[in-house]
Amino acid sequence: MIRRLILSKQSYIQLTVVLFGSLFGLLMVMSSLQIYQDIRSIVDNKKELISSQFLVVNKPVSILNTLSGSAAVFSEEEIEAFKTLKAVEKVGTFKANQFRAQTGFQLQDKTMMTDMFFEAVPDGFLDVKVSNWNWKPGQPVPIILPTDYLNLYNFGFAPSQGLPQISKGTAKLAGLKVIVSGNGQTAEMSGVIAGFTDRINSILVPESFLEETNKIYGSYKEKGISRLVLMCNDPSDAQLTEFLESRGYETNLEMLKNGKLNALLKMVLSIVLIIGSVIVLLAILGFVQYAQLLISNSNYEIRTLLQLGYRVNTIFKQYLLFYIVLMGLVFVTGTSVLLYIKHLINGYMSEKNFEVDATIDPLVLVYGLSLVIVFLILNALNTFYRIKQLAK
Amino acid sequence: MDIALRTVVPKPLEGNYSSESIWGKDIDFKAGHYYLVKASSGKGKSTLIAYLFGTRSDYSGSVLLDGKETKSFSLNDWSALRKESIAIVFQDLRLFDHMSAFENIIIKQQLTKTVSDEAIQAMAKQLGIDHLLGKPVKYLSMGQQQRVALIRALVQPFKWLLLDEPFSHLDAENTLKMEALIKEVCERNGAGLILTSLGNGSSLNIHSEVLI
Repeated sequence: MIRRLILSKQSYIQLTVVLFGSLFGLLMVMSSLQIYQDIRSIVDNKKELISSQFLVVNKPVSILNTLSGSAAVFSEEEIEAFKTLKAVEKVGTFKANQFRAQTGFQLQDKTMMTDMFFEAVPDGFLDVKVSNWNWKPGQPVPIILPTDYLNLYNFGFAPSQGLPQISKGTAKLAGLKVIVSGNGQTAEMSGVIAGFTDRINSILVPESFLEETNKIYGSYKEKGISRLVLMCNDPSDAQLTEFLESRGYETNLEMLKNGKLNALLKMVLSIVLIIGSVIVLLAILGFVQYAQLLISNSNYEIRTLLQLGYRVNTIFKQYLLFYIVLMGLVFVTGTSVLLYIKHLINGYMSEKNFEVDATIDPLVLVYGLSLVIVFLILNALNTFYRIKQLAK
Repeated sequence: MDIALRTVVPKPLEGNYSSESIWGKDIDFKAGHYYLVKASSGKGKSTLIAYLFGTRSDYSGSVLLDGKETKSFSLNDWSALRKESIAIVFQDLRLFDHMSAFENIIIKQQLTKTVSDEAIQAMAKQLGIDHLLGKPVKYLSMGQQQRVALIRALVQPFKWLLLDEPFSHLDAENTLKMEALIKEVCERNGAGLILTSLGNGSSLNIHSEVLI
């Protein structure tokens, strides 16, 4: 009854406007955060093999290499030169297999085996978390393939051979056969696809695997180092770009582009986030005003209730409960709309062949919820103070 | 519970009150006694009630409840007193206009649940307003509203009943009915009474009259 008494004197139009304001602000902040996370997961390729902080460098292959049979490899001095660059933190070299390697898999009744090569980069240069990347003898060999290989199969090979297409997920489930031979020995092992990458055009295995197998089966001569991976604090650094250009080295340029794109995207999304925060701030101010009006509309009722012997806390709790219900409503509605927006994003992303998480990032929810809680605390403090003023 | 005034002077009346009035003197209101506070308007009757009820504190001197300085009471102390020890009928009644008479009484009754709904009905009947309980207060006359306010004051435990000109809009017959009810409930509670009035007439057994 006292709830009806102190809450009945309010404008429902005002309440609706305030609620929509809060909802809009919250949604703006949450969805821009979510979109930011989604796009970052693609651009930053957090889930890809090597992040934009890493740059793969090779020497151009010319007709001379073909004719002379010498590979375009880096000399020790050339590798050392990279280490003097400010933007470069670490230089990693690609290790290659020195034995004959074949892999294949059983699909329906066809066994497909093919000659392969393996490469490895030092573990520190991987930022992808593959749980079984630390290979030990007897374990299946984890392999990371370029996405292009899968595309080649799915869009070229499979349709022409009447074979089913395979998604990334299914590919990871398929068991592979790995045959290594050299030094007059042969071994058959099992392998498993641990991930796909758009970044390195190579078939990657754990460094430990190559060290171990090269020792036993290694019969080829070491060809020298033809590719380097650089860990950079800023891949778009001018000194680095100039260095690469002057020496005529080739890089996976896409990454440099991504570095810039990422910066641009971060800026755009920061602006959206700032605007969203401003709206939230305005919504908070609007709500505080609404709450003050709600109380001043009921000044007489609150004061009289206090004179009848009701405690400040009792009346405050009624308001608090009301605000919790309102904010809960805003948060739940906001999250539902966000889910819908996320659904739209996912549709758009998969149309464009990007892989993003299907669900809302928990970080976004935590951020949204903490905004709502800050909102509530501010209003609660203000309301408590106002009621206490009326008691005096 | 004894009430005592110790050289209380309202700030608005400083240097401007009669030497016969209670202001500036030591006055005791003894537990269980009935007091009539008489004065013409503008001399501070409602002010006194507000000091005793803790809604105003713009005075010098001190108001003591059982020897305790009331200016030191917290908001929660006052809430507890208003809930359990001091009942009041304000001069301006302070009812909730858009609620029914019954709801106005219930809102007070909820706090302590001292009285049953039937007892409320019975009191309303005694005062001749039982047929009006369901009506919004704003449709009642001032006299009827005064009776609703009285019942609201009586549905709690109390040691003191403060009545600020409760009969101002009532005829002699209804005043008698109200006084009978007041007496009955005060006796049941063993409570004292402080009544302010412009006139003298009262069928209550007033122990002493106080002049402001």
